Amino acid sequence: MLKAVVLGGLGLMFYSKIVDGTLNFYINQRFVWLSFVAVLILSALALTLVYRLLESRRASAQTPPHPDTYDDSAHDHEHDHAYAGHDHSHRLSWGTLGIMAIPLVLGLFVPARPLGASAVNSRGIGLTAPQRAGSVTQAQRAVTGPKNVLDWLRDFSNNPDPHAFDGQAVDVVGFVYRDPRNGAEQIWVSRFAITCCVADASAVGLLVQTSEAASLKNDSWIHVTGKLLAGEFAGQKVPVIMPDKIEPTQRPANPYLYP
Amino acid sequence: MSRKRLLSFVGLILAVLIGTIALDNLLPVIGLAPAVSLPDLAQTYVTTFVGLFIEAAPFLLLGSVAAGLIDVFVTADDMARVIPRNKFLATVMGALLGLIFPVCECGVVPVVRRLYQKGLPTSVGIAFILSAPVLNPVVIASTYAAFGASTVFFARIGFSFLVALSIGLVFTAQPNLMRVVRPAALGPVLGGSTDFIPLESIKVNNFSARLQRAFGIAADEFFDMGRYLVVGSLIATTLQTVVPQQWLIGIGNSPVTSVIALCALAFVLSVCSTVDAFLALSFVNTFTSGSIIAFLVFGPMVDIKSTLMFLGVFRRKVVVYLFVLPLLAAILIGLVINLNLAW
Repeated sequence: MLKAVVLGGLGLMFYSKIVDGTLNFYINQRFVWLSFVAVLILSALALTLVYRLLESRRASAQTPPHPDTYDDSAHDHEHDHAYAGHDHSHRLSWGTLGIMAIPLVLGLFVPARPLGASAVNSRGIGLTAPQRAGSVTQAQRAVTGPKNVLDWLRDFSNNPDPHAFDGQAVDVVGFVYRDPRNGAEQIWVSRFAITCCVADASAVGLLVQTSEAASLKNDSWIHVTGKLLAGEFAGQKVPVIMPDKIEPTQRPANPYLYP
Repeated sequence: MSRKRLLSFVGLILAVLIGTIALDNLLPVIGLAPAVSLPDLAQTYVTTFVGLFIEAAPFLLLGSVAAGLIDVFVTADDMARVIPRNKFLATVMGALLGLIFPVCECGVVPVVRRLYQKGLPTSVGIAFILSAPVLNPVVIASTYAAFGASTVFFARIGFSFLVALSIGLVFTAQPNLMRVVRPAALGPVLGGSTDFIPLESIKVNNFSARLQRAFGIAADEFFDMGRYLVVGSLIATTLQTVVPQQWLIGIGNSPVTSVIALCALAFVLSVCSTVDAFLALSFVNTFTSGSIIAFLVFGPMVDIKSTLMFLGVFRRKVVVYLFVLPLLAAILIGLVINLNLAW
């Protein structure tokens, strides 16, 4: 019975994440359909177990109760018995149930929050864009709006001359991150790029040179507009945003970028 | 299935549907997810872990269902008919079996365990378990999407096949399944060897009863293997959130250390083989080509979660072989490419 509860609960977890849109905090949009598959299979499995349980209840109401103390290693022996109408599933250890309940509890009861500035610390921030062969995404993006952080980094890596971008207008959204190597007037406007799920997230960002730096909190989302100018970071010449305006903004529904 | 049963089954489905819809509207109201605000590191940890689980669980579920269906609908005789007598040919077939059963490393373990119960020869199962995560339509497609028809693409597929085949052939030296697989994992073959044991599944002819049974087995399988997935994901998450990635990536340029570093990274990240090609793409600029091929060959065969799942099926000594042999092969391939063919 508990097995059915855990299965159903996991199904519910997947389902609730799909419904409230927080699935985007965990995996690339391209794989959302897989979670639908998971919901279907999990509910089918949970239903099967519940249905069986009801069946065996009914059967044991008619015949004397049957001790169902199958242990883990021998359960497969008991298939013949199962077809006499008794509960076929083997007893699971509490350990296994407990372990399987971990993702359930963490998924359902810990509020969903995307990776933020603290995660950058262990991963490090990149000035180079993760590559992705399909150029289709870039073409699409050109139509839908201004270049995002990732698009800029891609351009930077295609053209190593930091002065090549001087004067170009920038309009990007990201969260604030500070690197130990940043001066007092420099921050990153950064995003996470994920290819598959958050396990492979890499932080990418553009440097912003601003006297307001001190008033901007780590992890707060900002909308930066301004112009690029070659500046310096950690002894390297790189394009830096000279902002005209830095506005606080809402976290986008989809906090990550997909290379 | 009698009419009454059918009715109760439909009723159950309806009840669950209504229940979910009701819960859906209730969740925000009762605030099932209370606004506990965790420290940043813990939050990052939870997000990464849940993300890894959400990404991998569907594949494990598909694998479990496949295992259940195999148990119920494939008989030992079918297996005997399909697998060539000749050991070499049989192992080759094992390495190509992934093309028919498209499973990744989370799904392959439950499938292979069922196939072993159906009398699959040891070496065939080993070749299958190592090659299926790469030699299957989904992964071939995703690798192609990432790299195109490049050297990396062909090298990944070719080397994965060769490595899986060679390690499978190593295991032809030990045809006794009982020496390779944990007795607990074999269930009905207890006391048997690689002889084909006819299972009782043939007796059940009613389709819906068989399907029901397949789902029951799939549920057991999901729990048996799922615990390894969960523990593996926990370890992988710990290593990821605590150990700085830059520390690994800092050694990317040297022809030797880059190979070792990417093998270690493949093991730690435990990313599903269906998508690791995209991940590898992000290393192309910083890492040597040999190390990227090693990453793409080794990662799908062995990583933290699959190692733990192996432990649920194979004897400990065999798991050591399954870890060390692919690792050595991958490092060798990476080094040979880097030192001789650097392009």
